Parts: sequence; C-alpha cells; structure tokens
Amino acid sequence: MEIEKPHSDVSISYSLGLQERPASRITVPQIESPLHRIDARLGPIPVRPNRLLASLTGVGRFRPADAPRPTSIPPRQPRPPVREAPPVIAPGAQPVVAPTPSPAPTHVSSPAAVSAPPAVATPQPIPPAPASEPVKAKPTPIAAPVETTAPDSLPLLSLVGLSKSFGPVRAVDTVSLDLRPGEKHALLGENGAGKSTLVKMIYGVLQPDAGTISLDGRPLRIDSPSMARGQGIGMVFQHFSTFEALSVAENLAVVLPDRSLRDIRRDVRRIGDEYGLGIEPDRRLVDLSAGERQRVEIIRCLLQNPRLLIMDEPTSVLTPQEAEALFAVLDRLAGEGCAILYISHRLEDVRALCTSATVMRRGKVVATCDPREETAASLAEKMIGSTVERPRKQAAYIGKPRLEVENLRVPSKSGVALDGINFTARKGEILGIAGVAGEGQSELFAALSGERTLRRRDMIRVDERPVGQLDITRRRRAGMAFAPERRIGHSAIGDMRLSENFRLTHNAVRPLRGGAKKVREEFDVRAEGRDPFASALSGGNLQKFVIGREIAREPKVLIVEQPTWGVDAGAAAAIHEALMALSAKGAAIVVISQDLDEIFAICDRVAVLHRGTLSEPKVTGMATAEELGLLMGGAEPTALAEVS
Amino acid sequence: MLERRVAPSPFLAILSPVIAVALTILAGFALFAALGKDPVQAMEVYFLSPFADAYNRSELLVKAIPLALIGSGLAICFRAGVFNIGAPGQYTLGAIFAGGVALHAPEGAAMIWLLPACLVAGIVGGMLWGWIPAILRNLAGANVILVSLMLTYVAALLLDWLVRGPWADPLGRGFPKTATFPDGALMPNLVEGTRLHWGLILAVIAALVLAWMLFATRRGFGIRAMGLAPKAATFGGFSEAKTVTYVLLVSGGLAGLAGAVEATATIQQLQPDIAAGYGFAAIIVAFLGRLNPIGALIAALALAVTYIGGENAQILLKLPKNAAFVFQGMLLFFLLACDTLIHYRVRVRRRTGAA
Repeated sequence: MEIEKPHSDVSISYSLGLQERPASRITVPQIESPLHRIDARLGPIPVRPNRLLASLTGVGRFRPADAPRPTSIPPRQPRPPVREAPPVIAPGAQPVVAPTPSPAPTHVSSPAAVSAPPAVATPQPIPPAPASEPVKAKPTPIAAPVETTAPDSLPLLSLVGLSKSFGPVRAVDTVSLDLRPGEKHALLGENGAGKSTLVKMIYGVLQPDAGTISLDGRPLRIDSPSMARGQGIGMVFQHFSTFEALSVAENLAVVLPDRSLRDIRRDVRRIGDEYGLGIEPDRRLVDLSAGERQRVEIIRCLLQNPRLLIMDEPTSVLTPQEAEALFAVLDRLAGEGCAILYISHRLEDVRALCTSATVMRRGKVVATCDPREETAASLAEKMIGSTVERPRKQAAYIGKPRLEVENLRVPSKSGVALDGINFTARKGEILGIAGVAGEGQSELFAALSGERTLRRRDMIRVDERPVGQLDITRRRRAGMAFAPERRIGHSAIGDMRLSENFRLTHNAVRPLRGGAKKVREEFDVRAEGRDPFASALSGGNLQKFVIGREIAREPKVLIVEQPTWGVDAGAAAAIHEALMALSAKGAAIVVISQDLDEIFAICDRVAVLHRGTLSEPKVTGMATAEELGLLMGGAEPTALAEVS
Repeated sequence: MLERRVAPSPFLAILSPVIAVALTILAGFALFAALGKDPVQAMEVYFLSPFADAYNRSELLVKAIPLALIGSGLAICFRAGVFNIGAPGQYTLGAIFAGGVALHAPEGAAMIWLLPACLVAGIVGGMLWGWIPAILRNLAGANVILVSLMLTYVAALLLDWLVRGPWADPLGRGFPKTATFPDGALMPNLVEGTRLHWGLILAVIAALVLAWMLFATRRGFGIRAMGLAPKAATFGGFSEAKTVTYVLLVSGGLAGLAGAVEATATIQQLQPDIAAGYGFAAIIVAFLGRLNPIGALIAALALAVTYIGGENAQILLKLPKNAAFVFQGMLLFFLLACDTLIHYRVRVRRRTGAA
C-alpha cells in the first residue's frame, strides 16, 4: 500500500538502516541580505529517522502567512510619542533603533560597527530549487514596511561560533547568528536540534564551551539569567515557574524585589492596556489559563525593559485565539524596536510571525531564510534535511486480541483526564498512539501500566483477563511489560548499576542471574565496565537496555512510550527492529509516540490521542500524515472526510 | 566550579567521612585556639582520652550503643528518602513504654520475662511514634520531617508529665523521676565492673540484620530504589506509601529499642532528661556511616568519642559541655560538604571576558 505523503513537495522518509544516501545532500540557498549570515559548513547530512511532529503541518490552526492579519492592534508604526515617559526599552541601554524605514546608524563610531560588517555574504551559487528566489532587498509583499528592520543597523545580538557539548554530544556546534533591533527571528528545528541549548546560553543558564556572544558589538560573558536580564534580555519559558498560590502582582514582586507591590500593580495595568495583555494583577495564578500565565511571564519581561525577548515554544500551550493575541503583542513589541527570538517547531506560527529564520539541525545552523518566502513544506524540509524512502512495515500475522481497553476513564489529578478510551491490540500487532505532547500520553501510560490503578477491573483486559485493578507488579505477572518515556528516573535509576536496573522490573518475577549481561550482549548496549551505572550510558544505549530488559521478560503485551526519543539513529533502528521481532513472536505492542515517522515505520494501525480521547484506529498504510495531523489538532472525523 | 561526574566515585564515598573528620579536627584546633586553650592538649583530651583506659573504653561503648541502634535504623529510613528526624521522640516513647512495663509488672511474676517484655514494649512504643508521621503522610500528604520533629516535643512533654505526675516516685521527695525499676527489668552487664551491658550485642545484631535486609532482600532493594528515584521505584512495583510506612516503623522501632535499653541498662528509672541528644546525634551517625547499618556501628563509635571527650574536656579543661555538640555539628557539616565530591569534581576555571 502506498502511503500518501503529507506534502507533495516534501518527501519525508525514513530509513531503518544507516546507509548513507548520496542524494541527501542539501544546499541551502544563500540569502544575500546582510541580516543573515550563513554557516558555510554544510556538508552531506546523514540520514536519520526524523521526528516530524504533527505540528509541522500546523494542523490548520493558523491562517497562512500572506493572509491579512486581523488588526485588533493598530499597524506597527514608529513609536507613538505618547510612550515617552514610561520606557519599555531599557533607559540605560543604547537608544534602540527606531523602527522607521529609514536606517538609523546611531553608533557608527563604535569600533564594532566596523568589525560587524553588513556585507558578510560570501556569495554562493544559488541552486535551482523551488522557492529560492534570491531575497535581495527583502521584498515583503504584504507586511508593513516597518516590519523589515533597517538592513544596515548594527546587530543587537551577535553570536559567533557558539558551541556547547554535553559529554560526547555536541548540542550546539559553532552556531553564528545576528539579531537586529526590531527583528522577529525564528529559531527552527526539531526536538533535540539544539535550539533550547542555544538560547539557554544567550540567557546565561548555560555557558558556551567556545564562541562569543556580543551585545551591541561588545563581547559579553553572560554568567547568569539575572545578568542577562540586566542586559535587557528577557525570556519566556515554555514551562512557567510561578507560584500558584500567589497573585499575579505578588509573583512579579518575587522577581522584582526592588519594586513595591503597588507600583507593580499599576505597571501591570498600564502594560496590560498598552499591549492588550489585560490581566487583573490581584488574581491568583491558580485561576489563570495557560495563555494568561504566559501573559504574566511576558509582562514580567516587559517590566524589565527588554531589548531582546526570547520566546521558547510559546504557542504550544495556547489556544489558537490566544496565539493570535500573542502574535499581535509580539508584532507591537518588535515595532518598538525590541528584537524577538522565537523558538518553535510550528512552521505556521513562524511563517505568520517572523521576518527571518535560522534553521538548526543536530546542533548546527543548516539554513537561514525568510520564512514568509517559504512554504511550510520547504521549511520542514530544511528542518528535517534528508529525503529518503520509508520502508513499509512487514505485514505480520495478526491474531486474537491480547490487550483490550474498554471505556478507560481516569479522572484528572493535575494533568489530562482520560475520557473513555477504547482500543484493542492484537497478537502480532503494533498499535501506534500518536498525538502531540501533553494530550494524555503519560496518563494513558500510567493507567495501562498500573502505576495508577483503575476504578473498574475490566477497563483493561489481557488475554481476556481483567487487570484494571492490579498493580504494576501483578500486571507484569499477567504478562505485561512497560517502558516509559523518561529513562533516568522512571524506567531506570541513574545511580544504580545495570544489574540492579535489570532487577527493577524483574524483582517480582523470578531471579534471573546475569540478565543484565545477557541484555547487554543481545542488544549491543555499549558502556564501559563490567556493570556500569545507568547514568554512565548514552541515551541510545540506555534505551536499548531498557527495551531489551522488557523484551527479556517475553511479554504478551508491551507498552512503550516514545521508544526512540532522543536516541541516535543506530539505536533507534535497533529498537524498532527489536519491537518488530517481538511482535512477530506474537506479542501485542502499543507504541505511544509523538514521532509520526516512527509510527508509520513500525505500526500496523494508528490512533490519535487528543485531550484524553482516542480516535478510531486506522490501518497505518491507509492513513496519511495529514489526516493524523488533523486528528492531533482535534479536528472532528467529519473534517477528515473533507480532506480525503 | 563543580562538574558532575559521569558515575559517583566509590573511592570518595569512603574517603569523604575521613576528610570530614580531618577537617573537623582542624576546625577544632582553630576553635580551641580562639577559646584560649592549648589546642594540642584539647585534642588529646577530646580524641585520645576516651581510649586511655578500660573504664573510658567501656564508657565509649556504652555511649555508642544507643547511637548505633538509632543510627542504623535511620540509615534505612534515609536510604528510602524519608527524613525521619523524630528519632528522639521515638526513643523517648520506647523508654516510656519500657518503663511502664517495668514499673507496673505484677509482683512475683516470672522475672525472667520482664526484661524482654520491657524491650518489646520499647520497640512497640517507638514504632507507634514512627507510625504517626507515616499515616499522616500517606493519608493527608503531611511532611514527615515536620511531623516527626513535632512529635519529639510531644513525647518529651508526655514523659515530663508522667514522671512528675502519675508515675512519680512516691519516695522521690518531689524529684521528677520514677522509682528504680525492679531487678528483673534491669539489663545485665556484659563485663563485670563496667557499665557495659548486653545492649552492645543487640546493636550489633540489629545492624547485621538491617544490612542484610537492605542489600540482600527485595524489600531492601525497593528501599534503595525509592530513595534514589521514587518514580522509578514505583515503576518497579514498590509502593511509595508502603515503603515510607515500613522504614518509619523500622527506624521508630529501633529508636524505641534504644530508649528501652538506655532506660533498663544505664538509667534504670525514668526521668525527664533521658535522651541526652542521642536521637539527633544519630542523624550524624547515619550519614557518617554512609547510610549503611554496618557503617553506622563504626560511626556510632566516632560520635561516642565526641561525647566522652566532651565530658572529659568539661572536667579537665573546664570547657563548656556544648563544645561537644559543636564538634558534632561541624562533623555533619563537613561530611555533607565532602559528599558533594562523590558526585561532582572540582574544576578550576578562569573567568574570561567582561563580567
């Protein structure tokens, strides 16, 4: 059966093997705008299983980039004179270039202005690729001219050759990037591409191993987030660190100890009015939605007069309406000269908001572009890189139901409530459960594993035996095995040796001498020493160990969550092979994964988890990524019909 | 700056207490010098006099017995990540229960059973006091540290009331104490002419049994797993609530046994100040002994040195009694600081760039 590709112009593909494809070399169109500096070290990109998330497709949440923007906020104008008294831009900082179309080279006298040349562009041949017309003077077809930053203004932030390694992994590898005042710059990349590590260095959470960070042309060592804030760098994290029991104003007072609560209350109202970030300063955080909490975080940054605002995956917690409002605020801020560094893997967001983008892959900058000139598909291709073919799963013999889940309901403790989940996994079958993060995956895993027991015993049956009220040990005895998403601290204990970690899931069954050693040999788990600590293993090797440990129990039913999350290509392939071999022996396997490619590669059927409900499973060969993407976005099955 | 090691260093895990003791002695030098005493003489009194003669050596062991009993129990508790700092209360309850049995034993009953009955009652009392924080934690999410600590004061007040009120010695002329226990409730001495008693054997047996439990049984594995990674331990099939209850019962029971042993062996009656700080010092014992019951035996001896040395220093050097507690505090402080080195290595790095 042929799998229809989500985008006709991207052939997303997947290879279990590690063979290098000579054709997978990517050349990125060099953009001649001086705004962008490109890393010339673009070599052949090795093939690897990619983690194209559903959000790549945007799930139809946002209007296309060229659609007119709903203008609840007046179009970005040069700053109105009203805003002179209460400055949002750091008073101590250099007067940020006013976002007028006319360039304002205010600090030409600075020596850095000479060394940070506008003409970095080392001309490269532009390959004849679609959607790669040279973007010369940044002809923006729709946006107001103010959106384009003055091309020859001095970069506010300049990164040169920034590198950071964690052990053997080069998380960020000689990354260079320039950011100008008023620029809305996207940092694109898949999970694990190094985006977060990069911005953590800018925000002073991590220290680079090599390279320099310059602000206003001055090299700077940013030791801590507080120092970064002192330099006018604000960051809104993906997960907010706030005190639930305190009010908005009190939360802000915690981080702004030198301001009185009364001042903060007044400022919150003022900023709220000014930017449409209306929030009542006396409301307690517990009562706020994710979007409202994010506003609090943004207000916190604004109170500190940022010149650069870093947003880490801001829309992942927002409803479409909230995301619209956020974009309006960010537009407005950029119009006032604040640079925005916007981290995302949601391409539609980036296309709707950003004026420039840096694409990272495996720690390196692989492309810079103007996202408005790109399609979601072309951006996705840059992010994922290679285009190879995806092998189809071998048709396996699929027999009687082994795992039956019927009307599984789990009330919410703090996460997502599971609301009537039904599925059956049969003998020899691998069932994929897709979905973006936080839609109930960990709750489903806990319910299936027995880490959380259920109200009714027949909500889950293994070989017709009800196990819903059994604890995890008894479910293991009933023939189930589990491998959760998080390795250190959940499926394994870092400070214990592999033999003890083996015992962790075998302790109640029977003493198996040398089990850890057997798993290490069989699954090629590479580590130094006779019996190393789990924390000494690389992610891929530890995951191979964990999967091998569960397979060693010869389970009838195996539940795995994100089996190849953060794992190198070789280990991922080995794990996929092992799972397929186990299913061929007659086990039923449930793979909960956010990686659609993984699901397409190994699963026989796929269902989508969205807000605690599961869609009807479809045969993988009949489903397209687009259909699944719609389901992940919560579209009704009727919407599906329109697609197909 | 500190850098995380790939794997914890087993070498430093053993070396760390040694470094900590050395640093404590160094700091002690500075302390005595600052107090105007001859540091060398002070050190001699503190660390050598406890070993000087048979009497001091036996007293050392007498002090070490309750410390070892409580410390090895706490080692189990801390291994599970349950910070029971209410051992003094559990100790006190053990003494109260043992005293209650001893004082209320019917006259003429088979005296041979009286001492074992006292000890068992002590264990039960300590377990009861350890159980309360476990119940409150499991049912209401109460903080074990706080509840166990608060119960210490409840226990102390309970004892105070008993010895002044219902259990007061009718011949005691109003002194807050009970009558001396009947002979059958007294712990026999191990060595004639000293105060060294059979509690030593109990402490050694308890440590051996606990070490076996911790390292050779499934339950011990669950305790260690729970302390390192609760979520992973739950994943492994060990219930967090059950583990917490179990370790609190074990450590409470051992603290109660220590209280019963002290009451029946060295004090031989109940009085308001029976604890002598053992319950808190045992926290140091547990950590100094690497949260290993056998290690706690050795660490109990080390702590006993500071007790005996402190008493001797009080007599010979006219140093305040609290100097001994300062030593204990410093020891724990340096030990916890040194423990960082097990997981981290020190790396000197030059600062570069503008600050």
